[in-house]
Amino acid sequence: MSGALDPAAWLPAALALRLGSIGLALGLARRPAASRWAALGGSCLASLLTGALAWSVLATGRAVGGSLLSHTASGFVLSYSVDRLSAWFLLVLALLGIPIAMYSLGYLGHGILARRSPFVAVGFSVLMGAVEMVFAADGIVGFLFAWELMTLANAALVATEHEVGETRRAAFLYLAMSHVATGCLFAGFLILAAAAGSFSFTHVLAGAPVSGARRHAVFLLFLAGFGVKAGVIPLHVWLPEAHPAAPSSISALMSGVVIKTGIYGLFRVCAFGLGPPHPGWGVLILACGGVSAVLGVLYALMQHDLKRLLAYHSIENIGIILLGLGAGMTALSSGRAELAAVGIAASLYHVLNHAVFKGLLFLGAGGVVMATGTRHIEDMGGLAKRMPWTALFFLVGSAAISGLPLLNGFVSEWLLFQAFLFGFQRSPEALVRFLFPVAGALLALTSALAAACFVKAFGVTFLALPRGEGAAKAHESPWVMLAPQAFLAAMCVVLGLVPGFVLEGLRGVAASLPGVRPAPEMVRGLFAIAPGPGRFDHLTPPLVALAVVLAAGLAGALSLRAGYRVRRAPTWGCGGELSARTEYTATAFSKPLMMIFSAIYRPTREVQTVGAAYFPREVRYRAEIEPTFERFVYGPLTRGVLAAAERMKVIQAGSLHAYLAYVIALVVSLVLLLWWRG
Amino acid sequence: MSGWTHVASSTPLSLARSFAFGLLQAAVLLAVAPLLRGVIKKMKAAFQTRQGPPLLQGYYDLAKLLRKEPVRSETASWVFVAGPRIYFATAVAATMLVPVLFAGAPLEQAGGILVLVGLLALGRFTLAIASLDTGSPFGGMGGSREMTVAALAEPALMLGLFTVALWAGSLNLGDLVRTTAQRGPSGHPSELLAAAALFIVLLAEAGRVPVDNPATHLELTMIHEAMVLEYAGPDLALVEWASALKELLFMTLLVNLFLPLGLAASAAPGAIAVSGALYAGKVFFLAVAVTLVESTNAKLRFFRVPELMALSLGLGFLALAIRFL
Repeated sequence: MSGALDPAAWLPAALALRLGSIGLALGLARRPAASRWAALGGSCLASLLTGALAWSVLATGRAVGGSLLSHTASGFVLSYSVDRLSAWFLLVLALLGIPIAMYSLGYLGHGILARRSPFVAVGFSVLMGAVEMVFAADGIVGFLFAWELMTLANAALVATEHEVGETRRAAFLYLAMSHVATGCLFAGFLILAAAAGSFSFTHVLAGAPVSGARRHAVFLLFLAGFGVKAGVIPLHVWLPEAHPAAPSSISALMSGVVIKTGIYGLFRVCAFGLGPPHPGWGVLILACGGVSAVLGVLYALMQHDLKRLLAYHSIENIGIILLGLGAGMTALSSGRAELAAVGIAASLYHVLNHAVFKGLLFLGAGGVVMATGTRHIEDMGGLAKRMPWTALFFLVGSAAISGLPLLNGFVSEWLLFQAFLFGFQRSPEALVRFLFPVAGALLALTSALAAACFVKAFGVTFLALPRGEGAAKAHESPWVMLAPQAFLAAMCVVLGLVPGFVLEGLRGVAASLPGVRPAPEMVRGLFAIAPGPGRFDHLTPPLVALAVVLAAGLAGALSLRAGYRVRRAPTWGCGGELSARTEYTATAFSKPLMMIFSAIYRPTREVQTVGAAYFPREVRYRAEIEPTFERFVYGPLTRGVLAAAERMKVIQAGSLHAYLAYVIALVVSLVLLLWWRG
Repeated sequence: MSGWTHVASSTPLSLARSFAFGLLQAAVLLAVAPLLRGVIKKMKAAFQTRQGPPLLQGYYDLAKLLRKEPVRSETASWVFVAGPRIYFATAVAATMLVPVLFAGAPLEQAGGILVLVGLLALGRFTLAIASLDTGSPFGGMGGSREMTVAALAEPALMLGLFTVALWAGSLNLGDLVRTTAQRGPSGHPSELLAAAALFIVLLAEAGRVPVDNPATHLELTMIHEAMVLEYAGPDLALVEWASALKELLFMTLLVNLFLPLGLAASAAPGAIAVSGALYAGKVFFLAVAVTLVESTNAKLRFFRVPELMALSLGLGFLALAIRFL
């Protein structure tokens, strides 16, 4: 193959397309609608190209690469390479990037966003291109450049509605934490590059240029650096602030794809770039995953801001993804190549699934927020009648994220259970035998709590009577916003029905990773999967779906008579009049779990009565949970940094002579250091 | 009727046969389920020296409800209508994954324990969502409590099932039962612990005392009943029937996992008769146990339920630990 048909040309073409459309959009900035179309349309086309490239790499198994720009005088070459791991993440990017761009066409035309839509659309395009480069970079320089570009573009997008103080704070927090993380990455990469004597991933990440304690230190640096981006607890505090603050289509992209760059980094560097993983690494990742999954969903349960709730669920799902990676690494460190493949496949499958259903949920939430003018679910309600399509798609996403069968979330969680139980079955090590069932129980708890959370989120948002003005006047979103949701909802179903097809692709990805050897028996045709050879377990979702459909037919036949004459009556209000005020609230719905897990939440409540003690005119009630990490980890840290800055103010006296003296002292000490070291 | 070779080689004809078998088994269980509730009610009444309702009262109720005019709230949307239907459908589909009279499940090529648990969770999820649809605070209260109890019961349920499954070397219920039946009960203490753990989960999932009280309509105590309070007529019939089926399903699971004696290996009438009689006996024994617990205990305060579930979870861990660590 050659010329335009050569997949190697598609990535540069996609990037060039993005650049061109960004230029065009900037030129048209005075006409927001045209500018929007230019940036987002170009982004769609570029994503199509990227998706096609990723598909062809996954289908043929051949990595493609090339150089984007080279400077002969300095010998600097910015090159890229798309292997199967990169291709998987690029596919996720394309699959979500296209519907989000289309949704943005409608979404950005409303309210305060309309004036800023050229800015948001261009920012979106830059962000897409940067993430694309992160996944495709094959050297330290290109990777870190793209990484920084991604962080900056993302921070700018978070600050879109910068009139709101909270938004500015969220953007600042995001920037600050991201830069600490980037610092960790710089340190880690420089240590590796110095040891390997090269900046290219092929040298730096081929096995371990460092060993012993330095290898552990490098692992921890990367874990922290990538962990911040992925939102792993306890490095997550920026995530529930930044995701809700951004416009909803950007939130969808952030949750679906951008945080996955952290996961990609963990795969590329921590798991498969530093030589055979130490047993402790897998355990550490498992622990991070378990903590993130359970605490993420527990905190999500207490949120009444729809987008914040979804943001905490991103933390939960990152936890689930890490549980898979941790299981894979633990298996890998004890040389169980086939078992490792199950964990890796579960993890990567969930990366795809989470992008699809979380993208869908954020897009749905965006429509709801736009229609009601609020993010607070206690002010919503009754939207199923006013926005029937949005409600249906949101329900599909809710069921998928809760890991319920017939949808995609179930398949990846099924595979993860297999990684734990099959691994348990096959493993002689005591550690694995202890950890894997514990992780399995945590996963069961997580998905059951997620189901409870989405019963609350969906029920309170969409059902019963509207609780506020905005909800009562809400209208359905335009088709340009509904069509992408329909597509993603359909993907939730499709990805849940053809697991064999998806796993076939993943088997290739897993096989390309050092030390992992997936069993061919994992895929049993288009529709059936299994954890490995033998009869441990298998799953054929279409048969389950068929059984449910048949049984639903039975239910329909039994209640057929009901279809004829249904009487409608008001809900019994216990003698009073039923109104939105008597409905069960989201706070009340999650109250039992708040009391049961009070050791984690440490709730405080405050009841105030106004008026006479026995006949109060008004009762005010306030319940809060303790932001444990913010208060006990980041509070002291921030105070420490500020105190140190206060002390260091002394040397910044404002005198030019003093500054010159510092420079001279620095140069002299560097020269001395060089002379001393030889 | 074995595992995965079946998947690879399943023809449309064999699939159709599996589904026919599955629907037949579901129909049998659907037919028996209300009787089980009747038996338990009768025994409970005997404990309280009452006469109790007739054994067949459950059937009379269902027949009446199915004929009645459905009344639905003006506030409710399509979600309210879908709830009972999906709840019923998932419960029926779940029965096809469970071995009842035979040493194999009709639809075992579809999946195993995880699919079973997932289907029941899906049913609960839809019904709990539907409970919020009428705007009545009772629905929300019931839905909230049901999801809370379910969230706590799920890890315990999984651990209990895993203990049995890992010992048999398969998460597929058909394979599992065949292996255990071949080996015979080991009498290992871990099996007793796992059975105890699952028995506690059974009480929670079936809405029995000490977790929930199926005989009350007092708002402070009810869980499941509050969730379905707004249903009437055929909608209510579907919910009631599916709940009875779920209870029978859990009991079947418990007796066939721990005592897979006399399961029929073929469709010979003699084998089926023996297996049917043994099955009835085993389920009756379990029903007696449920009645005893229900008659001699008071319902726990809702916030004491987590302790019970923690006990079940602990038993599950212990069962796993003493067998495998």
